[in-house]
Amino acid sequence: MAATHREASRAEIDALVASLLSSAADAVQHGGWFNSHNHSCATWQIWPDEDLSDEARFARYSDPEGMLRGWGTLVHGVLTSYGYLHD
Amino acid sequence: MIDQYGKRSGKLLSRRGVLRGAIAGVSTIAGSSAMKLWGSEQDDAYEGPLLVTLQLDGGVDVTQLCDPKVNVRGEPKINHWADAADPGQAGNILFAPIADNAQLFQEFGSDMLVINGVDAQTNSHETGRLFNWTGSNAEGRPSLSALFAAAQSPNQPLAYSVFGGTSRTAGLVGYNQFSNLAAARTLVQPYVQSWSGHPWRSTADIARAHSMVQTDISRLLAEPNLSVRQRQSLLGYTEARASRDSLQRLAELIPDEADVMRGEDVNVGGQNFRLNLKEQMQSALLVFKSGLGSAADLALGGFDSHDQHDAVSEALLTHFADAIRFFWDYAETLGIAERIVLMVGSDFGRTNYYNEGDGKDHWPISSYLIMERDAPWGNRVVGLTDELHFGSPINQETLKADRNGVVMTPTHVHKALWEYLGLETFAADRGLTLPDAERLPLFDPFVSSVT
Repeated sequence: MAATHREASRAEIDALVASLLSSAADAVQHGGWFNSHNHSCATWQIWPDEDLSDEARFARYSDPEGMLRGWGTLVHGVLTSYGYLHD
Repeated sequence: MIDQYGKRSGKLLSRRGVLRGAIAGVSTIAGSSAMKLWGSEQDDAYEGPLLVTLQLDGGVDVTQLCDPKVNVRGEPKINHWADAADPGQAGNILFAPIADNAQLFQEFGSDMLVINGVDAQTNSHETGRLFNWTGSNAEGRPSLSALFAAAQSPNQPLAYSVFGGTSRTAGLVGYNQFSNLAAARTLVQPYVQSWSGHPWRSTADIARAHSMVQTDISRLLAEPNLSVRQRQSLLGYTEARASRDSLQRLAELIPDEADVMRGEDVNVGGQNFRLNLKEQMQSALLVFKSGLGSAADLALGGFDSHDQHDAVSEALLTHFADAIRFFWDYAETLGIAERIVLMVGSDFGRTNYYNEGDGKDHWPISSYLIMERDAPWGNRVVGLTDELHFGSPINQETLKADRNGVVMTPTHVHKALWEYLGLETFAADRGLTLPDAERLPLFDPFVSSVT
């Protein structure tokens, strides 16, 4: 919670965690992989090696609890917030 | 040697820097204090008149376009084309018989006002551009398109789009600077992959992120001891986010990648040119069609032909004519052609002789082309130059040659355009004036300098 110079309040943290869990729960309904038909993050901008073995691919993109996608939502919300953009 | 400034003052300015580089990405320049990327609280599509300016960047040779000059015995050669041809004529308009000028003027001459003999009074690119697009050779006044956008659609998110040229806002309105449609697409569809049309994230997750942002804003607005500036900043951010839905109107109009006009690379006279005027035109016209703006500045660069002048000039004028045809065809397809005034101008003109590199250098006399569909003032030429392309004085009322008349400057042209476009009262209410200049009836269909 150090995206800005201001420490987040307890209420803010609770709201962010609620969004994270909600997003993760919704993601699970659409399968157990990070990328899907309605969610295709530009992962090649994070990891240069996209030519993976099945095991490595599973380790990187398997998302059975939806937490990867949930954190994606959280980062989206924080990085587009007024507080972050005007920090 | 024939040189207007040599005769008048013995002073010839040196060549300055040439073309600006291509604009990368998209950015917003706030002429006013508030950023206007998303505009504010404007949901209604703008359906009024539209203004496009097209800067032929670097100083176009109008003796090879709309003010043709043949060679004069005993004087240095003005144009190689005049060795073997006479000027062409389309209606009342004379043109140089090179490039695709014949087709350009035959097809569009009836919708065109040619303004010749305009003296920019400089050989400096920057000063020439400033004078030609603001009507003043001193800083502080808005470019015509900025004034128009501020008067017509100040609250639209893309009121004033800039793809090139010289833009001065004078604090009246912000402008949005594009490089191409891809940049516009990213602007209006930030959650969609431009190449596939697929979303980056699920709709539900985008909604969650938006909700987080809104919750954060509500919390901040509820904080005690907010300063006026902080509150204004927060409200501006909120309004901007709320109004961006209107940008979907543009998103829905942007064609598939295959139908987006692409720039072309041309090598002429050993120089490489990236010509993307049609792409600029397509983008500007789509912004207009979306109802999100009313004015746009376009530019076609490369006219600063100090070497190999004819090859460069002819290649660029060919592209220019082709692009003008595309512009009006595309505007017609979108159903907005009747609303558009297109103004073509440049920094200044080019010398009435070739230099040692077969190029032409800077010359203060130039021309404008004003175009409008079914314009009652079309098929006319106003303003005069002599056989060596010096500006000639014209009568203030008849516009005919008059040794006691006035030599036109960009101020005269802008004065007439302010009147024609209905900008005078708007400008006066904001304390904006042009430098002193006579009123010339440039848009009076019953007078012309050449008949």
